[in-house]
Amino acid sequence: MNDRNIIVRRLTRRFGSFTAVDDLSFEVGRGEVFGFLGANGAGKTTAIRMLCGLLRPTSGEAEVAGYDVARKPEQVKRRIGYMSQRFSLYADLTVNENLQLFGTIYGVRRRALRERIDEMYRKLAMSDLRDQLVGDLPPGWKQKIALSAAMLHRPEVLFLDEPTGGVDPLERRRFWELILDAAGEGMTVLVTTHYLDEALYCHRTLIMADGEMKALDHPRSLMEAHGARDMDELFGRLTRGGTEEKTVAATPSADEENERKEENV
Amino acid sequence: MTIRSRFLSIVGKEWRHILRERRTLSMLFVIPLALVLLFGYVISTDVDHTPVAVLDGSQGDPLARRLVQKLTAADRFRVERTLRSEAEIDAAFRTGTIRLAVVIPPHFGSDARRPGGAQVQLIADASDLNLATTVLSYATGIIAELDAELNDDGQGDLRQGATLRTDVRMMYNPELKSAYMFVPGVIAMIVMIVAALMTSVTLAREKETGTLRLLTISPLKARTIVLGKVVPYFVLTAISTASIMLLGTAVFGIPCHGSLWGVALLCSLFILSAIGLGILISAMVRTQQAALTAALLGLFMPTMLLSGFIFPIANMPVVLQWLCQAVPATWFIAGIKNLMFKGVPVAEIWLPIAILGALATVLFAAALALFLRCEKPTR
Repeated sequence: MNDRNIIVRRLTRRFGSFTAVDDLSFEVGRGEVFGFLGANGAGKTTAIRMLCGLLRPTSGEAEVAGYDVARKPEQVKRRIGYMSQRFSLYADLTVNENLQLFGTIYGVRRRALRERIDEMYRKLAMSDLRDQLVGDLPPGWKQKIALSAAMLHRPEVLFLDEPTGGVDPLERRRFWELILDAAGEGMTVLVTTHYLDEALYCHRTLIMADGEMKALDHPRSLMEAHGARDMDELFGRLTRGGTEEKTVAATPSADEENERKEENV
Repeated sequence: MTIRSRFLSIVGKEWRHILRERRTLSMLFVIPLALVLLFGYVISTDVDHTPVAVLDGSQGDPLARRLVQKLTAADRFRVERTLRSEAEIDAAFRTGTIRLAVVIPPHFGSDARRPGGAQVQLIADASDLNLATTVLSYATGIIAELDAELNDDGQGDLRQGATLRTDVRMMYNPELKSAYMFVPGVIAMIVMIVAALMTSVTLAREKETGTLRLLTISPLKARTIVLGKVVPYFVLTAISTASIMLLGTAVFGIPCHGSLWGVALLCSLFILSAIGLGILISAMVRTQQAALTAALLGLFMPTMLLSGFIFPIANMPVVLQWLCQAVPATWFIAGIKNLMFKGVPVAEIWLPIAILGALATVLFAAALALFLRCEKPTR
């Protein structure tokens, strides 16, 4: 096994005549935090779904944690973690019940699971929340718990699909500290975001538009190379050929709408 | 912008909402239509061509022949079987085809001329109380008409005190308890609510909130996810079914003459097919609201109206009778009544068992296939 935890070669996905992901190729190393940046409908979610073994590529191939996603989706699924702001925990279960559930689903043995959950409570200093319903917690806490739940089985690759929506900047910073910690321990992290400042936390960032890769490098190198003062400007130049775009238009509903379209085709 | 154009613009916008939401639009028209048709046809209590068994003890007495002719003349009844002894009556009911048995005593013709008159015995299957009551009132009416004719048709020797009387007997539910009717029906309704409706709504909620994504992205197999839904709702429904049965027995005194294992088998198959329907619904909708609507209209109403629970199936037009055959509750209620009230052996209700079993299997296969198509890498 090599030190590449994600290998993507000419990955393409079409829905009817619509090409959601167009000829994508990249590799991500062990312990790397890899950003996926793009507007809604740019193809991020479709790409992630293929990498998680949920959606079969139309052409090209992808290997995650050493297994081909199209041929061995079950092997891939066992070795990855997934967390999203939109699809998080069960609101009507307590923190502890959620962690137990997801730990068990991913096959963590009982004793190891108990140890890991306790360790997580210590790390986040939240033992007193263990019996609270997840639905009653503020979004920042929910997110950290969802992230911890996705890492209970010590995945080789962690997929974070827009993990920080609706959270204030301070909470987001704390959240990113957790992500960087995990990467420091050798976990590969692939994160999609439409918060441009978040891209700066990534070791490398892939910028997508219309299903295609527009750029791939460290965010600062990209900014230098394109003479952009900040990520917003860089993004505008790369995706729309202008500098006017300040933010990536982003509403969860628009994103869901797009996903529905994809599912329906 | 004037008030009027603002008003028109919001009206226009509302029309667009309505016209774009095809499902709501179609429901607005289809539901009232369906309701009117259903109630219009189903509530009609006319019973035509009711199958009858005749036991003619008088061996072809002219008056007996006249009676049978009169009964069948108006298309209300048709003679399905001719019996030779009283012992055959029970068997005729158990095989399920006849609704009424007419017992004509020996010396019927001569009895009629005697002061006490002759007595015709009418026996109905009261485990379907509504139908039994309707059928009996028709038959009693026809016999009363014949009685009047006999007293009035100029045959002098019959005029004085010649009478026909009817003796009505209800079989299988001698006390005419409505509990016999409503216990199986209520079980069917509850099974639909708990098993089908709740399964579909909770699965739809998982879709809506996205937690289903967390499950499908995990190493769990699709069948595991589905089964994880089935088992709790099966247990829940089984418990409520058992408690209705117990309540029926303890409070209303309904009997269970048949095999308890048979009852359990029939209930289990019915619950499984209901859960299968629930999963199928949730596989086809996206929201809880849609699941709820689909379950109420698609499952709950047919169970109430087209299962023989409230309205006798025999009273319905042929097309609706076919429709009734497609409602799982129809088979469940028929099977349960035979088993519990008539004490029919399990082997004799093989048809309801086979149909519910096949239905459950097909529904689960379809639900799983749909589920797989939605959530697994197939494309």
